[in-house]
Order: sequence, then structure tokens, then C-alpha cells
Amino acid sequence: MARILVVDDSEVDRRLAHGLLRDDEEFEIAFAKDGREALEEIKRLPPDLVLTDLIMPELDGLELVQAVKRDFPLVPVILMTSKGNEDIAVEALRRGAASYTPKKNLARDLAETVQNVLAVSRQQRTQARLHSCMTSSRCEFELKNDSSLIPPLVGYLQDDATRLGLCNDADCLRVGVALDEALANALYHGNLEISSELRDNDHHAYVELVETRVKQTPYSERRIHVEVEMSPQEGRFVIRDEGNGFDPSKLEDRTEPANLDKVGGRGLLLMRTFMDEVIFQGAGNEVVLIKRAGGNGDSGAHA
Amino acid sequence: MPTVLVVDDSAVDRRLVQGLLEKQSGWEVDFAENGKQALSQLQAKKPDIVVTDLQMPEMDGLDLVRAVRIHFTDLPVILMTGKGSESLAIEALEQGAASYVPKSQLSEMLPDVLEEVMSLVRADRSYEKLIECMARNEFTFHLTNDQALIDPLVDLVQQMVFGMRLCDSIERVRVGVALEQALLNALYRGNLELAAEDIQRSRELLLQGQNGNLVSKRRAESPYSERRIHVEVRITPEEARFVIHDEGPGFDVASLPEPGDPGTLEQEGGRGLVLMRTFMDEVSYNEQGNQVTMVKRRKPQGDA
Repeated sequence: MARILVVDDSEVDRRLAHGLLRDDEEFEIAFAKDGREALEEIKRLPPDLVLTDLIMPELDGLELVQAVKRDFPLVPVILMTSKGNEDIAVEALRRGAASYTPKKNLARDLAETVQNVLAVSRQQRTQARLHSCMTSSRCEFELKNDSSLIPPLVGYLQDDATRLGLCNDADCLRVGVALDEALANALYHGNLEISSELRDNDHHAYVELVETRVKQTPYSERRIHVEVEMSPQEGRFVIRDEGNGFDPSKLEDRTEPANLDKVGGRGLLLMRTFMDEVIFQGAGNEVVLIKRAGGNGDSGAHA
Repeated sequence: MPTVLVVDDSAVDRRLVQGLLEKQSGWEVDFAENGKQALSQLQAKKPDIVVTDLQMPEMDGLDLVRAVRIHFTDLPVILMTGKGSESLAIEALEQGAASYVPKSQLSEMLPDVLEEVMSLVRADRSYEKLIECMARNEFTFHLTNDQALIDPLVDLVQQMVFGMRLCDSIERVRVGVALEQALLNALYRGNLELAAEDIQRSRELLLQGQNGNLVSKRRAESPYSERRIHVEVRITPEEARFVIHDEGPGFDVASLPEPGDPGTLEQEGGRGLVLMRTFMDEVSYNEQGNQVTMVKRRKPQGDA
């Protein structure tokens, strides 16, 4: 059984959509006359799919798409478009509508479009349910000095952290920023031994030196080791480079607010603010970042 | 083109940022003169990212960060910090800002920092290259008795064993089949205590569109309904190890046919066991018979 909410201010069009969908016994159909009524209905009983007109009084189709995307991200929205509102339709698709059917082709395309979108949406829901069954995750990576590996690695870890419920979307972004800083630090300062002062003073020379050292012994043989353990309560990220390390005690004062201006302390400050603990180990070439669910690193925790 | 809303009360600074982003880096730039104006603009048009000054009349950067955090949860805010606004900046970072750039370093850093943060927002979800660098991956799941969860789990494992180069594309499918069989066993025979013929009959009823069959009855009934399947997956480039534990009473492990016994093919539930034993390198049960451990090893080079 799939519950479909048809949203249109024209009674004729509502009846038309109903006529086209009712043949399928799998569909249970509900109606709303505009976006506002639709949102109330969705809140009362979330449907499996929303089929909406674009131009309506009160709350129009575009606004409805946005509200559904924000509050019910797993409910797909299909647009019924007509001549003259192509621009709004494109915008609605950009903001998260799943598909569209021109009103003049409803009879031919509607049932099939609804079926297709429902199939994809079911798959997404099961995926989301599987993720909510995850209870722990551990992984280990060994990275070459290739900065293009950092964004996918951060993205992968963000995904895992979200799956486990360790952080919500907003805090995941911040966890991502902290990891990004720690990885870039291991790559450029650790393995390639390039100072941040050079980056500030002569960006061109900095880029050139990076390109040289990536191919040059001993820098080129060095790897970044990443070990991660995550549960719904805590994420522990260990990042180790094979450089010479540094004296972490010299870094301490750089995180003072007064030193916000100094580029070298920037990464550390972001790591300290967004994670619950930041510990340097070994010769200073290993950093442990700890993020706890609902910990200090969550935004608003100090409010 | 990515869009950015720049919030600053100083016209000079707005122009500076505009030059950096619009002309040099191809961003579409909109402006607001303070936090209040920024918020009303956000209602009308949401950009991909916000860059804000901290000290402003009407509503300062810290309050803007707070408001964005509440009303636009997934919109990243980057701070421009200057002398005198350090403690505001720290607080804004604690309250939800995504990053910051000192005003003295705007031209060197701002475009890069924006790119960096954006790349994390639309984080590159193509993991192919990354998974090749993976040295170990372990995860655990607690599954309810729902067959719909089995396919996506098997998919995930197949992607991993293939990506980590443990299996070629054919071995990947075989690992998937064996894992699926083990999970189905844990669900139907283990947790729901159904015999092979019950499962078959339930499937037939389901195909005829009839509900109320034995499977859905058991799924809703104590003690079956409280039982879970515990799955542990450990994958390295050398081997994959799967431990699947159900909470049913188990079975007499001694009654299992020897591997290679042709009679197994005909036996009740024999098919799953044959597939598991054929496709995995090792299949063993615990004494109680409610936990199976399967191991798949990397084939020596040239033999795969």
C-alpha cells in the first residue's frame, strides 16, 4: 500500500489525477487544496509520495517542496507542470523535487512516474533503516601524500558518523572541518615538512615546494595512517604522519583568541573547538581527535 | 555557479570580498550590511554558504551564527575575524560557525577556505579511490527480523570486498550470495524458528497477496519478535570475516552433513549451506548452533 497526497487547487485536476492513479490497487489517495493544507496533512500522516501542482494560493508548490525537503526528507515530491511555469519547475527540482510530469501528458506518464519514484524512495528508506541498525564501525587507512584523497576520506567518515547517530548534519560538517585540518596538517607539515609560514608569505613558492617534495625522497615514501573507531557515543580518530614531528607544547599559546590571526594556529584552533579532545602523541606526529555525542564540540553546547 | 552571501557593514570590505570571490573565483556574490538584513535575505534566497564579519550594528556575527544554526541548519557560515573580535569569534565557532579567516589574510585564504568548506558540504561521495587505501574496515549491526534489511547490507559488503580488491567481480557476487544465505538462515530458521517448508508456504501466500501468514505472525509474537541478528563484518585486503549470531535456540551442529556430501543438496535447508561452504573458504558454527563464522580469503595472484 502506498499513500499518495495529491495537491492541487483545481478540483478538475485533482479528479483527473485521482482517476489516473485509482486503477492501481496499491495506491491510497488523499487530497489537499494548497501547500498549507498539504503540510498539515503531511504532519498528520506522512504519505509515501506527494504529487503537487505548482501555482496555488496560500503556499505554492515551490514552497511546499522546500518545506517537505526540510522536514520530511524521505518523502519524495513529484511536480505537475504546465506551460508557463517551466522556470518555477526547474527551481523546484533544484530545491529537491524528485521528478515532474507535464499536465498535458498526465494520462500517459503519471502512473509510471509515480511507480518509478516510489521504487527509488523505498530503496532509500531501507538504506536509511539499515544505517540505523549500525552499532559500531572501525576502519584503517594508509594514504599517500595525495591531497585529493582527503575530501572523500572526510566525506566517508562524516557518513559513518551520521549513520551511527554520533552527530547531526550541522555538527558533522564541523567534525569534517576538524578532520580536514588534521589530515592537511599531517600531509603538508608532517610528511612534506613544509611550514605554514611559507604558505602565508609566498603562496607560489609553497605550491612549488609541495609539488617537488611529493616526488622526492624521503618525503615521497611517507604515508598518513588513519585509524578510526566510532560508536553512537564516541568517535576516536587517530591520524599519524611519518614526518619528524614537533614539540606540541610550543603550540599551546597559539590557540589563544589573541592569536586567531596567525595562520599556523588556525587548524589547531578549529580542531580544539569542534572536537571534544585533541591529544598529540609520540614525537608530535600523531594526533588523536575525540568527538562525543552531545559533547562540547556540538554547536550551541556553551549557550 | 555557487552562491555566497557576504555580510559586512563596511562597504570597503564588501568590495574587497566581492573582488576576491566574484572576479577571481567565479562565485555569485550577494551582500547584506548586518545580521538582520542577512537573515531576511536568507528567507528569500538561500545561498550555498555565508561569509560574515563579526562586529556589526543591528545584529552581529555571533547572533547571525546562532540564528542560522536554528533556522538553516545545513548552511555553513564562515567568519571574517579581526583585531578586537577574537572572543566573539571563538564563541561563534563554538556556536556553530564552520570556519574562519582572519581579515588580514582574506586575499590569501578566503577563496581556498570557501572551496574547502564547500567540498565538505557536498563531500565527495565517490569512494572508489579511497577504498583502495583502506587497510581495514569493521562494522557491527543489530538487525531486526526484517528481510528488507538484508539486501542493502549485502550490497554494502559487496562494495567493500570489491573496492578493497579482496575479490574480483565474480567472487564479489559469490560472497554476496553466501552472506545472504547466512542472514536468511539467522532470520527465518534461527530467530523465527521456521522450517524450510513454512518459509516456502509463507512466500507462496505472500505472492498471492495474502497476509496473516506464519512469517508475519512470528515476527509480531514474543519471544520471536524481540530477537535480533548480530552481524560483525571485518574486512582487510587479505580476508573478510563475517560473524552472524541469532538469538534462536540453535541447532545440533553434529547433524550437519560433511562438506562435499552430495546428499546435502537435497536436504532441508541444504542449499544455503552448500552455497555458503562453496563460496566461502571457511564456515564454522558455535556449539549452540546459533552463530556462524564465515571467512573469505584473497585468492593468490594469478589464481583469481
